[in-house]
Amino acid sequence: MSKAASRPPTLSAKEYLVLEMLVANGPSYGLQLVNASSGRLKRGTVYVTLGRMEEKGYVESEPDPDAADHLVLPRRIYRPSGYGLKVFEAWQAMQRVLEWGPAHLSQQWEGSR
Amino acid sequence: MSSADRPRRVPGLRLRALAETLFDQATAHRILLPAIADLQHEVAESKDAPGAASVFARCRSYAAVWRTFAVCIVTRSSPSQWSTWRQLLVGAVAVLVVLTAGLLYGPLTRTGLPNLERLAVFLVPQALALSIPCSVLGAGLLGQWSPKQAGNPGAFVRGILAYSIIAAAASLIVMIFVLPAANQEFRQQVQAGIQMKSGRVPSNLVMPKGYPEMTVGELREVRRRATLQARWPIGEQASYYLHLKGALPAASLALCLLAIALAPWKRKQRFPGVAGLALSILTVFAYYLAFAGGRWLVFAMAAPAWLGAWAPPALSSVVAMLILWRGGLEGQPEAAGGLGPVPAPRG
Repeated sequence: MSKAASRPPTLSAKEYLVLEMLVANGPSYGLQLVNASSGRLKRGTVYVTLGRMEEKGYVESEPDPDAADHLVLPRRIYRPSGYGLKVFEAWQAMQRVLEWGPAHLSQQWEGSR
Repeated sequence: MSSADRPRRVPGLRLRALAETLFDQATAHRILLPAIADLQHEVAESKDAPGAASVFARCRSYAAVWRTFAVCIVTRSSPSQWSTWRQLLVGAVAVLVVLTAGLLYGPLTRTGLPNLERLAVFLVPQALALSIPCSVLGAGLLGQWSPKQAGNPGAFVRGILAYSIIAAAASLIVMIFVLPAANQEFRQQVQAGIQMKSGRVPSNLVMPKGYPEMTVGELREVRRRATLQARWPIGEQASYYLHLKGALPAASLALCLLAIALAPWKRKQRFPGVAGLALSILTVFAYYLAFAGGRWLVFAMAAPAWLGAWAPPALSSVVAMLILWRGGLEGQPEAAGGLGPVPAPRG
């Protein structure tokens, strides 16, 4: 197993947001994600984030199959990969576990010992 | 030919070529081409919008693509590419400092007045206006000669392009805002120094401005008045200095193209460092001759002002394009300095 593969997956706040929107809104292209994010994603960096997520294996992309104009580049449609969905669910579960805050969790930990 | 018959112009084609030339396949296809696709679609969709809205959409799309390019340069560079850029920057700063000091030395020793440090401050912008474009060429031909870096020409091209854009912007600010004020202050200081040296009380009289001391607005005014009074030589001279405010910053971009075009030839030499130095000196000398020739032609009323000012950067760009076209950076083996084949995607 490679060193990178042995590390637990990481998900930045932007990557989490992208996955959240892709799960909620279905397959989208970059500009749609920017418009739906109400200013949390920027046009100049959305494709950098999507490119990084694709390299990490969190999203998959394909050229827009409905593109009719052959003179212009087809838009790239992104959807969460199976691995990306698992990471997203794991992150949500972790958030649920940790949302009580450090004080409450410490008390619970002490009580269980 | 009616507008309907005319072939449709697709925006972003040059940006696409630039992305595929400058970046590896993974970066170009995963990040830049989707951004360019958005630009093309948005421009097409905003075609029927009212004038201002269409222009706004176009500007916003182009700004987003350029920002993506900038982010990619920073975030998608490997350690070896950063090393190339560091080397370029060090080379550029070294050339900038040496040239600026050299250009200051002559006028300051001729002045022979006290407060040389103060005078030097006002003379620096004058020297910077010439040394900034030269530093682009110098960095291109001197700052990147180690054989270790020769196998990474893509990073070199990206680095020198980025530096030349920054240099052109800095040069524009110097030419428009800093140089006229600093030149005038230098003249005032020298005048006061001469008066004090001859035992007189320095007067507060503001010296009349020459063309290099004039701002854009003042040069336009001189040109307008000269045209009204049919004093063509004065109008052309003012117009020449007006054009120079754009042409001198453009020299950074033109010399950058020359550095890119000449770098492969330089690297093939036995002593690439010496070849780079010789090429830099020769090119700067040739550029200076073209610059002086253009000025002479305008002042002799043998050429229009725009031609005299813009001929040197235009000629340099044409020469660079011809060399690039004949030599063909693409497809050459990497050791010879070509961009080489597109590397395999990362990750």
